[in-house]
Amino acid sequence: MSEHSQDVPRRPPPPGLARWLLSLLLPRGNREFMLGDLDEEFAARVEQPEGLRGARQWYWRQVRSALMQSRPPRHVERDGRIPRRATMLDTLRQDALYALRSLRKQPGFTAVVVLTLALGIGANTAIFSLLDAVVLRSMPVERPEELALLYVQHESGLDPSFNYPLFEDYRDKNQVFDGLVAFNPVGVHLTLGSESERLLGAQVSWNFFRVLGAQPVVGRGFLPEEDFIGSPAQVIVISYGLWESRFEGKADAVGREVLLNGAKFTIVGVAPPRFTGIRRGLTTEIYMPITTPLDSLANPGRWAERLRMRTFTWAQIFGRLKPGITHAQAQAGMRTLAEQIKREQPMNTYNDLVVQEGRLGYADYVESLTKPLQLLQLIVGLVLLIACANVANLLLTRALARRREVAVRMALGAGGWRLMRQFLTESLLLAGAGGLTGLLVARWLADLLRSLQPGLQVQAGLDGRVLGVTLAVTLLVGLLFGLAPAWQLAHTGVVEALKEARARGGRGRLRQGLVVAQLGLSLVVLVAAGLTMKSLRGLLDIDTGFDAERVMLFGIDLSRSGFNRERGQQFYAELLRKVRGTAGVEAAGLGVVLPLDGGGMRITAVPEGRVHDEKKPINLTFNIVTPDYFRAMGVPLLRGRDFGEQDRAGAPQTVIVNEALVREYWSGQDGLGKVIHLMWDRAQPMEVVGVVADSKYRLVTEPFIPTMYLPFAQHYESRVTLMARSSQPQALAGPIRGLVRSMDRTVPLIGVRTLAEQRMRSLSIPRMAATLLSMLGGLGLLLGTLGLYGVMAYLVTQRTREIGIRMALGAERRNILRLVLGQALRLVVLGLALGMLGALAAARLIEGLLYGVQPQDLATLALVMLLLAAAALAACLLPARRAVRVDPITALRYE
Amino acid sequence: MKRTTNSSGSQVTLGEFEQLVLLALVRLRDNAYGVTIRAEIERRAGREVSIAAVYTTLDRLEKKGLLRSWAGEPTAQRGGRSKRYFRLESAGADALAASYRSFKGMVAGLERQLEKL
Repeated sequence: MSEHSQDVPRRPPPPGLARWLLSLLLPRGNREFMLGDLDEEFAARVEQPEGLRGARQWYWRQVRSALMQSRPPRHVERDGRIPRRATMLDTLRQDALYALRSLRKQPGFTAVVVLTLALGIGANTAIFSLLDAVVLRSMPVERPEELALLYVQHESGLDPSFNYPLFEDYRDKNQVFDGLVAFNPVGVHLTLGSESERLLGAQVSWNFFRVLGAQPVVGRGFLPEEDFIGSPAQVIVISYGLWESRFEGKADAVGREVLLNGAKFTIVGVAPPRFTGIRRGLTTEIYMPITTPLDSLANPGRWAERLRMRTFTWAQIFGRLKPGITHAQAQAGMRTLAEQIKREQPMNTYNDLVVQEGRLGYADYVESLTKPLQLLQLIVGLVLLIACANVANLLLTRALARRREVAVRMALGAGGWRLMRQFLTESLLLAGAGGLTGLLVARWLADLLRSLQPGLQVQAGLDGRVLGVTLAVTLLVGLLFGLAPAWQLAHTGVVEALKEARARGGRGRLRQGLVVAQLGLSLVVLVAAGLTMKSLRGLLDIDTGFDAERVMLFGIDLSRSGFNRERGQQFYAELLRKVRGTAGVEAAGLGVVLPLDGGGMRITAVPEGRVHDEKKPINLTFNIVTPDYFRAMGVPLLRGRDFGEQDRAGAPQTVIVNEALVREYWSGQDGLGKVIHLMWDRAQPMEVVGVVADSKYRLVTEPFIPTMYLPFAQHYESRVTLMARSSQPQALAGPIRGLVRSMDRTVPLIGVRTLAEQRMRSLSIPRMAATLLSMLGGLGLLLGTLGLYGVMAYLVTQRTREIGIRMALGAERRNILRLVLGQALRLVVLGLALGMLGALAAARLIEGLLYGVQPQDLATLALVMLLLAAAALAACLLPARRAVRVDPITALRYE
Repeated sequence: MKRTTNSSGSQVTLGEFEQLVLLALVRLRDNAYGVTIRAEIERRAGREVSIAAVYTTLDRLEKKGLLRSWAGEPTAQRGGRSKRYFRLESAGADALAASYRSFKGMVAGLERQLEKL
């Protein structure tokens, strides 16, 4: 790929799936010419008024017409010869038709089987589509296995951030990368016409698209001359999704001017479809050269300064390895280079570089999802096995009823192999129907999952890859449950079968085994469900220290609207005054850190009584808040006072701390009047004026952390969250939105929700796991119980004669009951015992998902056992009652 | 429909669609390939035809010796695929001419009446 190719305007390709279908459907001889023709015409149509959408519709019409044309000709050639002999395909068709007929005769049976399979396959497809999108699938770029991400190994873990001069050093001096890219995720504010929205953007070095091999489909990527410190270029590349949704997919989007954070930028290209950037789980909508200042209006010249700073650590670095270089070799090479650089330039350079595989992109955002998804995949796999066992049981029952039919066919000359194929066709047909219905289930489930995980933007559609897996699973399932009955049927002796059409059929060992397996698997699934539910209960009961039900949150970001510090302070002061005057508002305050958001701020500080130690600095968590923040959040002030007018800029520095901080550093004292030093230049000592009760900071699951609160008036930040307290917080959303708009139309409100919702969001993964697992557990329980019922009913029928004889010989009802239930009990106990072993084995896997619950939690295990045992008992009651009511005379005559 | 003879001496009949395709070749001269042929028929005869139908017909006509084809250079615009160009052979021209003559003969004197239909 030459740099020159960046200049050539590129066009969007035809839809990939459609093209693939065409390449299958078009006659081989002319395929290449035809595909070329269609490509050419597609490109021409994109330029027409209907644009990309019209061109796509047209392209799909070509698929349809190719489909019509490709139907095999069934006519007889002119000389009267039939073109082909009866082939395997014909037999297959015959088998399929026969199977269809016999399935249609038993709609109830067919429906139950298809539904069971649909639930099993659908759940698997849904989870797999998510797992694939989040964890497995490489980014849609060229040779993703050659990509590598650069990290620094710190004591606390891997850090992806570097300073920009260091990036330049690596870029210019390394021997192992074909191209090295700097990248920085940023939030941007896009204004198009009168509409404004907040989007995820990325500042990238010019070679971003070139190195990834994800060339823009319309327009071009960035040019080297647009990427140097001080570059005046104001150009962006937009995502394919944004191009379609905001520019109707028209080629003239390239060249248009848009407002980004209030400054003019020109669109020069559109990223390829399906390419969502280098951060997994998130979609980057806007790319710009890394040297372009984003907030040029507010801070002219400051960006160039930052790019030259070795103290400012922010840029992420990735690249494409030279051909033949492994990741390990690259790491060794980079470490050697890093040592050289460190000798010349000791400040903020690192020796401990780590080169990691980059085919997935940066996965930090989805990291917490990986394990839960893997676990869920395992569990849905188990549920599918239960479903298979169930269907196998149903088919075995059905096969028994069809012995006579089989016998007749065999007597008429059907071979064993031919019969087996017939039955396999039938089960594959059932599996196919189950798979198709399963896709509907999968779509529904996938939507449900996404709604539980609102921030996640993965393309977890049912694409070719997922459909392929579903197809494979379906076939496997069809074989799995079809083989047993097919085998059994095909190997029935003719004479035996004809003579004993109503067969004895042994004790159905296979079926009993299946039921034991079902019960065991159900137990594993139920235990997982029970544990996650108990864990979620615990999480919901955790005291956060806030009055979450009565607080409404409004994220406000002035940095995007060109406010400087002074104007920002004024804006916020006025906003607070107006909000407090709004009807229904009991208290209102601002906080810079939104609690339970997973993020936060820490700073090196020295509490009174401690000495600063370079090697082991004390890093204190802090927030910056206005007066009344605590009252708004429902956090009690225990001692001292809240911030007030006196804590303004220029006045002596003050701080409020929480109980945990007092306990940690001034145990046994009240903390008031103590002093904390911040370790940054020109920082004055801060005096503790108040102590508040503990509340959660980053995560619900964390313990209470020692936290400082600094007054907003002394420490301005442009991005804050407004907390407003009311008995009906939801009702504040409209009025406060209007209020902000009336003060400044360009100021965006982000994440308007109640604190209770914020809390629920922070628990999205446990909620997802608990919801899904309990659904799956219920399904497993239902299937297991049905399976047990089926087998018991069958066994009772099988033993009718025996029971009749026993009764005739004087056995009492309770003896019979014991006989039947005893048999059931053996199955249940065996199943539960095996299941318990399975659950204990699986405990390690689920451990990471649990909070405050041991994976071997006895209460849960006991409860699940009880539940299963009760369900099993219920399943046995009906057959047992039938057994007890057997009339000896009828039973004997029947034989 | 009119019958004529092709190079191997047997009689060749042109169907209506075959006539359209051959007429497109006459019009397009050196620039006759899938896209242009289809566009020509669409524009002049006012009907959208499937690409497979066009190629099937072209293949059949080539087999009968009425036209010949060759592959051009691959181009980037076509995803690196080459065009297949077509040109009328003399047998094709004869067949087309025969068709045209018979059609003209049947139409002669009816023009005004047909316009009104």
